[in-house]
Amino acid sequence: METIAVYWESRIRTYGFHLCEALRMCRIDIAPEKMVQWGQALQSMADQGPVFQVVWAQGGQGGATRFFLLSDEIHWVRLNPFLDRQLAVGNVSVMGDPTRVDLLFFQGPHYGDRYGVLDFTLTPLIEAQIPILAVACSVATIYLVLRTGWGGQAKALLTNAFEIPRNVRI
Amino acid sequence: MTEKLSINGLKLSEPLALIQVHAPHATFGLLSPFCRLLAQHQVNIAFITTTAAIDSQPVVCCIEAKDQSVVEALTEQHEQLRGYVHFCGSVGIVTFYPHHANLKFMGLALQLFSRNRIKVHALASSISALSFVVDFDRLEEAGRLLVESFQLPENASPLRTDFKVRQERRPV
Repeated sequence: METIAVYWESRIRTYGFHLCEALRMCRIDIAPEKMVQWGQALQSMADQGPVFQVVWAQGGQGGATRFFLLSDEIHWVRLNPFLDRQLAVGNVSVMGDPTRVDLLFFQGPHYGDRYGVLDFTLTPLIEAQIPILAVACSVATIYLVLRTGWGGQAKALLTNAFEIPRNVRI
Repeated sequence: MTEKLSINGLKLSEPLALIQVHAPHATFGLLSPFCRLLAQHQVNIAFITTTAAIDSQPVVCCIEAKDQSVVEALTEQHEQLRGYVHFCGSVGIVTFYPHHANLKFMGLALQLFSRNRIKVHALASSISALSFVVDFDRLEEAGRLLVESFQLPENASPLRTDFKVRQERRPV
């Protein structure tokens, strides 16, 4: 038996927006023959605890996988030496200089299962010419990586567009 | 014996179609029309990543497999998108949670998949979960490897989607 839930929503709802400003974004290329070592190296980070705000990766040029890691300043202090070591031993083939970015992320009910949410998100931002550097959508979370200094304006635009439930009547 | 990393759950997706959207020097400009086209035709994007604004990488996207033929036809008819939308095979997404923002979890999964030659087309974190896009015919195996290598609650097994969400216009 298949269960289907039907959504009726005049404005898309979100649980709220989270803005992290001036994060470090680093780009790391891993060759396919180095992926096992890269995985082992990540595990060996001696219980470093939380180190990233968001991570994503996709297949890049020449078969390499390109990872993007965003980290705040506190966690970057732990992450940077680790990445330098991986570059030195050849597990990482390319590592771009980290850049400063703002990260705006949010989630809502069944975002990963419903059409149109990303289009609804991008429309006001593109109309306002907000510089979007990267987008990642996974499960029910939408991540927007913006040029540093633009996060506040993007958050204000999206706060106007989406509905954020404020009062819950039980 | 090393203690296993603990996770609370694991989920396997339905069959999905992997799409790459790429135009030399212009990929990011295709993101909005691509998303608009899919939204207009009620096609859900189950997963998407792009850094096309800052490097030459394609947009990587997953839609439900049942929507592939429709999206193929639509993008071929679309003035801006024609020729730039490539369908790259049947995939699935394996998701586990929580990741605790700790790279050890991602590291173990990558090591497992790589040792077993399971190609990871893309991956991304969400607030609490990590999702990996793999070939659909390797999805069950990917789930099994994670179940064997992480510590899960007793009697836990990979969860398959057992309900669907549908959007409609409210009847007047």
